[in-house]
Amino acid sequence: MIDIITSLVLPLVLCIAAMGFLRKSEALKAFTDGASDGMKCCMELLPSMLLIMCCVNALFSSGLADILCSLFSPLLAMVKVPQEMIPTIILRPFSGSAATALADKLFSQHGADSIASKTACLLMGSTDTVLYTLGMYFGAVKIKKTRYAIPASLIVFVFSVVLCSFVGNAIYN
Amino acid sequence: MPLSFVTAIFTGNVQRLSFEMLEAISGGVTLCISLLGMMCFWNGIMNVFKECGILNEISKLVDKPLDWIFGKNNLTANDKQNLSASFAADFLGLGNAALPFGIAAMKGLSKGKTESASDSAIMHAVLNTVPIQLVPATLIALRSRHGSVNPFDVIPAIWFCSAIITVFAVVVCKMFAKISKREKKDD
Repeated sequence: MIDIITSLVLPLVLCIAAMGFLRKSEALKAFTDGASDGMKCCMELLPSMLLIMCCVNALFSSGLADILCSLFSPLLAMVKVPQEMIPTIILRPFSGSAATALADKLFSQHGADSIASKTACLLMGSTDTVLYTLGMYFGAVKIKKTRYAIPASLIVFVFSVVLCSFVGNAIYN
Repeated sequence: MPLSFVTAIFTGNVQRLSFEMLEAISGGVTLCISLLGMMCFWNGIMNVFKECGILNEISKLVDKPLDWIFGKNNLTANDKQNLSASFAADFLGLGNAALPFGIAAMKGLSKGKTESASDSAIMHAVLNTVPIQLVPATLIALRSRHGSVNPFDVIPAIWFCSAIITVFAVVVCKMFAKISKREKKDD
């Protein structure tokens, strides 16, 4: 039922847009104008994207990510985070695909209905790849000083981890 | 980055590191190109929505919350439209569509200043790290593939967490903004 609704969202949005085409004759021009803007925007994104990709890859291939994992696990254990999902948490801010891959592993090892899996779901569902998002948004407008953006988003992320594990423990235990 | 180098030397992964970094460069270009089509397409659609006034109506719905989050009189009508479109796209799970809207909003919020980020620009970026999604489709697909009894049963809890986290994010940003304002005064 729900997946039918989700798959309906996109066609529906496009239908509304098509109604715009019918209502106004200059809608076609609006579309092409917007699309060429999008192209410019994407090209402006490329430099910052390259830098982020490079840094994230370096982080993983050097083994620094694993070290970070083992460093943070005692801390995370203190707030009652299920042990099995700790790697997923550490990787979540850096790489969406890596976190998804780890969640996949978690589900297959502990079952999709275990507490750890469900808590991982909560976290994956309510947070995004923090560093990518910040890099993309600030990179797109070429802002150099991000001021308190990074500490603020990291605080929010830590809060998310604590909240999700608390809620996970409370509901699913 | 330098930290990664040092670790690589200790773990003996230097060769892999340099290989992976070169990989990342071509990977970044591939990613950008694969985004290009989406960005063009959704920017076009957004412009159509704007032209026929649909965006205006959406933004009226979220007018009050936006005023609370970003502060009154900080937003032009155009910013509001972009912001509401970006949040709406995130909400519906059209992540690819949310990005161009969000970047358009970001451009408006930073008001052409490229030196340092404005408070509302930071607020917008941080809020985008904690998206609210009606149906987290990827997660559900993943769960059902691994034989969950009811893949959808995490959704209410995700909504609950998302809502609290979003409010928390707004509060944190507002606090940081206040602190940095006070520091400026002291200077």
